[in-house]
Amino acid sequence: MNASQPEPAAPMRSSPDGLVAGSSLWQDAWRRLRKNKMAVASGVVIAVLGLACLLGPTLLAVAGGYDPDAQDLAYGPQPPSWQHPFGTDFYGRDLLVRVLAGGQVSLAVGILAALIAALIGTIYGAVSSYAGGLVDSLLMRVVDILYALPYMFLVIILVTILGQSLVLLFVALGAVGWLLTARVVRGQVMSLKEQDFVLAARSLGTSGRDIVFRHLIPNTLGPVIVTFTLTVPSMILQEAFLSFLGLGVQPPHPSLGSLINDGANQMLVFWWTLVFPGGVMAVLLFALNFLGDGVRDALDPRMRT
Amino acid sequence: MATTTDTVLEVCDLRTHFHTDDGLVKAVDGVSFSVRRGETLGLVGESGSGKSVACLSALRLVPTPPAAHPSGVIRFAGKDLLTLPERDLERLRGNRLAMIFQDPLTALNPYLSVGRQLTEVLEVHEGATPAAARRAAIEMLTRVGIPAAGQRIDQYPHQFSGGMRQRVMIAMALLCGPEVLFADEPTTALDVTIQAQILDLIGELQASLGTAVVLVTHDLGVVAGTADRVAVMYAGRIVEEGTTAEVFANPLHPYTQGLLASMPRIDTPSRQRLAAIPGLPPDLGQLPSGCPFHPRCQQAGDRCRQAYPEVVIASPTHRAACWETEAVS
Repeated sequence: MNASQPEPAAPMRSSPDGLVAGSSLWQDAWRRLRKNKMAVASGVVIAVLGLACLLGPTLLAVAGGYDPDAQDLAYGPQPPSWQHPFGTDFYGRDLLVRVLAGGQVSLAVGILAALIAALIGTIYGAVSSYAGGLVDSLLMRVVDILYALPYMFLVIILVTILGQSLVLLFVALGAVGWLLTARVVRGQVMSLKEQDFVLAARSLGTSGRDIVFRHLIPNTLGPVIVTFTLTVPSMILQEAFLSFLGLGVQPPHPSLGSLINDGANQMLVFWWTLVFPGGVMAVLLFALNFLGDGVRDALDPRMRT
Repeated sequence: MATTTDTVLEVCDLRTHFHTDDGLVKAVDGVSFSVRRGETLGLVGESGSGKSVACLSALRLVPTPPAAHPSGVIRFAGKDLLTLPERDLERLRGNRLAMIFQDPLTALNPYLSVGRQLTEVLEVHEGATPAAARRAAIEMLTRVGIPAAGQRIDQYPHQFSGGMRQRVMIAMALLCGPEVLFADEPTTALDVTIQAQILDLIGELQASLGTAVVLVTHDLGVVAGTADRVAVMYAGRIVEEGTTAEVFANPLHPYTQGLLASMPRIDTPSRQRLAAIPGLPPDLGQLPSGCPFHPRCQQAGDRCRQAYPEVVIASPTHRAACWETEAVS
């Protein structure tokens, strides 16, 4: 929304003629986020993990011939060593490559599903709230009904009906995950739409559609982003759970969930098959949650300085 | 006085009623007024007298529910605004009819740059290209007295002071050169020096654009300085209407007399207490019978408690609704 905005390097940058350059609320928030050490550290962890997951499997395949799916039953499960830092699994597959490849799937599912959820939820909530009255009541009862149905049950039905492809997994998780965003946005718009600037925009002839999309939704983006950053880890968990049940990513392709499932079955004998995928997942979820908290604090207008 | 006599906006018997849990609240109950090209009409009254609701109703901006659809007729450009389809009304709002709000701190969208909020108006109404809209917006900002408008246009509302924001609001309302401007207490949230600047600015732009202004205020000093005609509202009705000179020199309604008496004047001895109208404005949900002002009126007689007063005509431009005022005039 502010692509044409000059990015201020310092809190109050002076432009050549001595005027204070424009700094949006987003730039303020970014500045506050950078001051939050936990959030920055989490951001770095996520970036490193993300890059490793994105590039790791390819690099390892080219450099060392590691293949996440190639089995070597004769080699079997080996404890961590220099050659296999995370050890190997029951089928003799290198666990580091499998964890990285699995992380790729988990991150992709988490981010894409959360994006779908945020998109549906924001538009649904904003339209419902702005329309108000009967339309609002009807739309929100739909949300209530979906909320009342067991969440996982719905996803399982969707995955079973739609078939087990990775894309459908995003859609199924996103299609069920937007309820929270819709409620958050509706609540925001409920108070925003009573504010004078909406009345002022209407008095200037702005249509209802433009008010929702140009005036109201940008004002809700703070909470939406916060909900988004907190939805990503929950989506990753959902995917792990589905894979754990055997409904998510199908073997031999790994995902963090299915790796943990395999590991859990043999943790007393081959401890590393559980500890490494579980550890990576825990670190990832911690970092995502800390970043989400940091973003929420940064966008809180009461923290404005 | 207005230089021409062509009426641009005529409001007849406007009624806006709210259905609340406490019953029917008649916020505006049979208000009629008209404004001519280039003229300023001061709409005066206490808080809760229905001034703002009357303006919002004229643009059909009162939320329904809780309000019932306003009844009456509002004639503008040969159309009745109250029966016009919403789409057609949107084309008029901001283009030929505009409004300035009381609190400039909340009437601008905090997440959009001032420039975007200004250019949006031009893009909606005149189909201007972004570049042309930006040029026009900068020109308008310069005209309302914002220095370095070319840079300020990319800033966000929180980087403007209250007075500057009100200038932005005025720029936004006047961008398309509206025929009628409703100014709902445009200076109430500002300090006195800024107040004078803003009023002068509205006057200047009004003169150059020929805009008719409906100036809502509770400040009689503002009215005396800027309005050509005055309409005094009490409990949702206009109780007195006339040219500013007539109303200030010869107030007919006891309420108007009370308001004028309570105004501090430069020649009032400094130790003298200001006169106050006794009592409180009535609850619009439970209006007293007859003239709603009678419980606070020292001249009230029996007739005042029984029926709403008939209109007393003092001159072709000056009238009031009071039973007792015949004796006065």
